[in-house]
Amino acid sequence: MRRTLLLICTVLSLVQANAQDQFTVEAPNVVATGERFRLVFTATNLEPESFNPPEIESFVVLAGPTTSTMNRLEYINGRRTQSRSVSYTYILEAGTTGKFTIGEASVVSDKVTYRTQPVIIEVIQGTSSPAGTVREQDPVTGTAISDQDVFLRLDVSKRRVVKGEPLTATLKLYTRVNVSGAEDIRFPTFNGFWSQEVYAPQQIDWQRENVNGEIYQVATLRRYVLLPQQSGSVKIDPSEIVCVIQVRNTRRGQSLLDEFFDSYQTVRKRVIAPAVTVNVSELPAGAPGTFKGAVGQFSISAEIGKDSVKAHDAVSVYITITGEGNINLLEAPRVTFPPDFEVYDAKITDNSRSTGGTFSGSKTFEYPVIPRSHGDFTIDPVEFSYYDIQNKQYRTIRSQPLKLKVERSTDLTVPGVPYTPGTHRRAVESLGRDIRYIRTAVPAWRSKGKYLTGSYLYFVILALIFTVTGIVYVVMNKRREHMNDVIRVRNSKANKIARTRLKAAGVLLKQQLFEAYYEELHRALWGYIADKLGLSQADCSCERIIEILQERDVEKDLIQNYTDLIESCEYARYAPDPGQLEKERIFDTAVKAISKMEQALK
Amino acid sequence: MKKVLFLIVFSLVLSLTAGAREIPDSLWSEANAYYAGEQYQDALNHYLEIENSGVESADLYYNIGNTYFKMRYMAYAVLYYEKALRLAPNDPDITYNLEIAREQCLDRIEPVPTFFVADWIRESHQIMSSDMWAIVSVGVLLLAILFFLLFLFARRVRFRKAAFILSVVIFLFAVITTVFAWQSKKQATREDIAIVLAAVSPVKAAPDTQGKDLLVIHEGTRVRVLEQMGSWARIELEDGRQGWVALSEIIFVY
Repeated sequence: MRRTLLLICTVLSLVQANAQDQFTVEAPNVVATGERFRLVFTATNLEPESFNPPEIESFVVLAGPTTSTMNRLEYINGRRTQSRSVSYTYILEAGTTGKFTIGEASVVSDKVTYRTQPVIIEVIQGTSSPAGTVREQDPVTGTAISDQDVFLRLDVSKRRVVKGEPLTATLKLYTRVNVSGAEDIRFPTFNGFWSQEVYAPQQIDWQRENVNGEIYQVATLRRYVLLPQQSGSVKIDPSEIVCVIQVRNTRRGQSLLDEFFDSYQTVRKRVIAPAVTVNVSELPAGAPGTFKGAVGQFSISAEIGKDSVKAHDAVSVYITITGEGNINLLEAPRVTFPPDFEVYDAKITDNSRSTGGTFSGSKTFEYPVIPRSHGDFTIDPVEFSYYDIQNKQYRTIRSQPLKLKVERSTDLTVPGVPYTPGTHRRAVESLGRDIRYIRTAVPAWRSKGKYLTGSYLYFVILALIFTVTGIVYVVMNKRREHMNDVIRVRNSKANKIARTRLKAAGVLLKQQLFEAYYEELHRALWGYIADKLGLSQADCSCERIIEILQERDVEKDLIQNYTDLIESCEYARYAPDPGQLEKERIFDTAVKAISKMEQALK
Repeated sequence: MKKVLFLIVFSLVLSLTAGAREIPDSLWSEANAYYAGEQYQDALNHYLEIENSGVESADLYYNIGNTYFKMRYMAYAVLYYEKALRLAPNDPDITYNLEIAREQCLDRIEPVPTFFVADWIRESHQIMSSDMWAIVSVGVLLLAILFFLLFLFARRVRFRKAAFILSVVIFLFAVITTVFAWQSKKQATREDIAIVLAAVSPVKAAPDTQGKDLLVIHEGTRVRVLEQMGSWARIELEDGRQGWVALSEIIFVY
């Protein structure tokens, strides 16, 4: 299996080299013992001055090197291309079995030496067919074509893969008979895989290959690169092809002519490539959060279109993932832009190619963004995770952080939107939700489970309040009683004191001491009402007296009369003498007022 | 006399607040530093040490709740936010975080709607903590007594009338606040509220492992424990459904 693959690879490389190299070699890779074959060295577009033949040790050189020159002139779409090639041809015969190398040959052209790659030719034991011919070139006689004569095979490069690991599937037709064509080809369907055709030849290119010691003509019909998308044993459905085979008629003809000329018959044979099962194992657990199914070997880089832009100007951020693996299936990595950036859908440029059974190259994600406010911003490193098949572990790689300087936009308008004040205002968006931060100030500690309510302290406080209230009540009550006593005494003595003062005033009136007379009269009126109402000297004012008297339902006239009297006494002290009669009249009114008041306040 | 009284009150107040305060304070700042450095396990150990030293505060429980939240232990986060809310009802931060922690829990239970007056009364309890209510009630009582004394001893009739009305009204307030203080304490020391700790906890029809499974509740769900029997608790969900769960699968808030 591996050998076949190796052979395919060498053949492929030769095919590829043909287009570019100017000095090439052409030889079959498998021959049978006793078989004659051609070994051709071709120098294209060269002027070979000398040919340095290769060392051919293991083969018998029957003829050669014979030189032939070919000129070719081509017009393709009006373009003329001319090519000239010189070829050196050997006819060799294989002797013993084994693997042999034909060393390099070289030519010198324009003082430059061109060399060919060494060629490995495998010689196997020839079959019973006569020397010089190979059996598969013989049309099989009879219509019975066995499954060994022609078969179809689907080779997969790996039978055990992890999800996302690339593998190649090659569909090959092996034949020992003369296949002249194929029809009704049903190519395999790859359910459970993402598949891409990487080789689909226009013309069938036959190669020789050694299969269990038999030389087969092998045609590679298709080659695919597959990426498993689901785990488990995934079956690739059989593919089939109907081969058109030329078979020589074995039936003996009646005439001599029939015997002389072989007659051929075309036979159709359906060949089926057996189903192939690939074991796809799930990726191991423990994938990082940023893992999105990338398998292979990758690197990431980030780039920004411009280092500084103006607000509301667009800028592109490029994230490039380079490497090999299922690169064509990579999803855009998550880029966290600063909050005030308007981000549009990523534009994806896929530069990956399939090479050697896997995909490699790069994939670029272009994120167009429009910063809406000015400032210096940093776009956080973009994280990308992949599963490393070689080391069988997940890897997370990070791009470098990007810095973007956004300058204040010179015009107030958003492009395309006429400026009106207030239109820029928008609701503050909530970006995330998380718990509020811890409290850091040292709290007031309290003993666990102790509450003020119902505690001893609580009851003590309540008891204290009531006790103090009680004490205050008792004290206040006593004081009030005492005060009441004082007031009662004053009340009872009020009349007596007033009379004494009035008498004194009468004496003063007779002595013609008017100022003293008025003072005494005033004092009598004042003192009487203050004692009667229990007012202290400080509390005593006309308004207060009126208020209290009104509260005690004393007649308005009497109150008016009394206060007028007090006022006139006060006034008369500083006024000019009103005359004897007026003074006596006031004296009489005062005596009357006090006695009336005495009755009113009983 | 007054000095003696003052001393008694002062010493009682001191006895109610924690004795050794220096140790929690240093632990507190260390724990906060660990939290800020996202070393949640260390932060948690420090906070729990403070809690085990016999002191508490709403802020302490709030921070423990936050730490558990960051460590993705949602049941414990809910538990500690509930504890914090008991000491500081109506605290907006605690309420907010509790809501977020509840969102992270699996069970969404629609509570049975209650009569709005009952809601009002309950909400008015929660304006302040029990201690605050007690202090307010004592203050209001003092004021009521003051006005009553004024009523008793004021001379002027108008003063006395006003003082009387005021003292009656304020006394009513004192009664209400005292009731609230007691109610609030009762709520804060409720022993029948528990949080489901087990990730998945089957609710059985009988206190018995063989009992039929009625429902399955998940970590962080708040339940009311109606009675206990052996290693089983009869619980009621906020929507009124009942059943038995193993005591080991729930943790009491108080």
